[in-house]
Amino acid sequence: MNHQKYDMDEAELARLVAIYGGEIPRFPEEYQAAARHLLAHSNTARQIQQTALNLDNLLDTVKIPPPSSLLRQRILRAARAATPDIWQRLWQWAIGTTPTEYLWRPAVTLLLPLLLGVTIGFYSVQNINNDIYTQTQTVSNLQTTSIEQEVDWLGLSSTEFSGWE
Amino acid sequence: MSELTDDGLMLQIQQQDEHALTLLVDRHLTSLHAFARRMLGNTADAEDIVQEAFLRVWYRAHTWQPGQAKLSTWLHRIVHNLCIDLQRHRKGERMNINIETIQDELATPSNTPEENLLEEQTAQQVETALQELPEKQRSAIILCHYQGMSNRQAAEVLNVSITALESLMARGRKTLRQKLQV
Repeated sequence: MNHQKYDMDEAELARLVAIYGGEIPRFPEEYQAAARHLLAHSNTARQIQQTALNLDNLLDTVKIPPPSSLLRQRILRAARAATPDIWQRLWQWAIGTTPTEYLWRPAVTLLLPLLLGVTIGFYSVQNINNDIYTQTQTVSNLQTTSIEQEVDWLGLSSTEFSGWE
Repeated sequence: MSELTDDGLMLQIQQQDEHALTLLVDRHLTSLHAFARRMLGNTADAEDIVQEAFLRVWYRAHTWQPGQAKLSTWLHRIVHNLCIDLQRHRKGERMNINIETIQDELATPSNTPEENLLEEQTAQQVETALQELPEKQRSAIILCHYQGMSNRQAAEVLNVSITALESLMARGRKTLRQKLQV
C-alpha cells in the first residue's frame, strides 16, 4: 500500500538526502511527492538537495564497461561441463528440492529399499511354504503307500529290495 | 521462451534447460558484472565471481522458490556473498584497483585528453574512497546508487532491516563526503 506523505520540512528532506542522495526518484515512493512540493517552494531545500547531488555526480564518474562476450561464453561452457549426470539427478531427487521435500523425500528414499525387502521376503516365504507343502504331501503319500508301491515309486525291483533286508 | 519471466526461466533451469540458462545469463550478466566489479574494484575477480554465481544458480536451481524473492535480488545476494567471502579471504591485502584498467574504461573519444585525465583521476579517487568504506556501507551504496535497487530490495540482499540499511547508507555517504571533500 502506498501512503503518500504531503507534509515535509527541510529537516525531513535533509534526512532523506543524507540516505538516498539528491535524486528524488531514489527516495521511497511515499516521500517523493512531498519532496518535490517542498523543493518547488524552498530555496533552503534546493541547497540541501544540491549538496547531495554533488556527491551523486562524483559517484557517477565511476563507470563500468559491459562485460566481454568471452565471459558469457565462459559461463555457458562451464555450466555445460557442470551439468549433473544421472546419479547426481537421482541423488537430488532422493534428498528433495524444497523444505517440505527435504522431509518426505529422504523418508521415501529410505522406505523404498525396506518395501523392496519386505516384498522379496514375502514372496520368498510364500515359495518356501509351497515347497514345504509339496514335501509334506510327498511324505504323507509315502506314508500311505505300501512298501511295494514305494519300491515301485523308487524304481527298484522287488528282488533288489529283498536283497536289502 | 525469451518472453518468459525470471520465475519461468528458473523453472526451466530447474529442469536443466541450457537454453533457459543462456537467456538468464543474457538478462542479468551486465548488471551482476557491474555489481561485482564495483564491490571488488577489479575486473578479473569480478568475472570469476559472476561465473561462479551463475554456476551456483545452475547447480542449485532446485533451491529457488518462486514468490519468495525477486530473482534479481537472489542473484545479487549470491554475488554479494561471494564478493564478501573473497574479500574476507584476502583480508589484510589491499584490494587491487587496476588504474590502467580504469583509465581504459573511462576514456571517451569525445573528451579532450586533459578532460579524460581529470575524469580518470576523479573516478579513481571515488573508487578508492568506495573501497575504503566498511563492507556493509559499501554494499548498501552500490546496491542503491549503482544497481538502482529500492531500499527494500537492498535490505533483502544484505539481510538487514530497512532502518539498518538507511543507517548504513547515511554513514557511508557521510564518510564519502568527508573523503571526497564535497
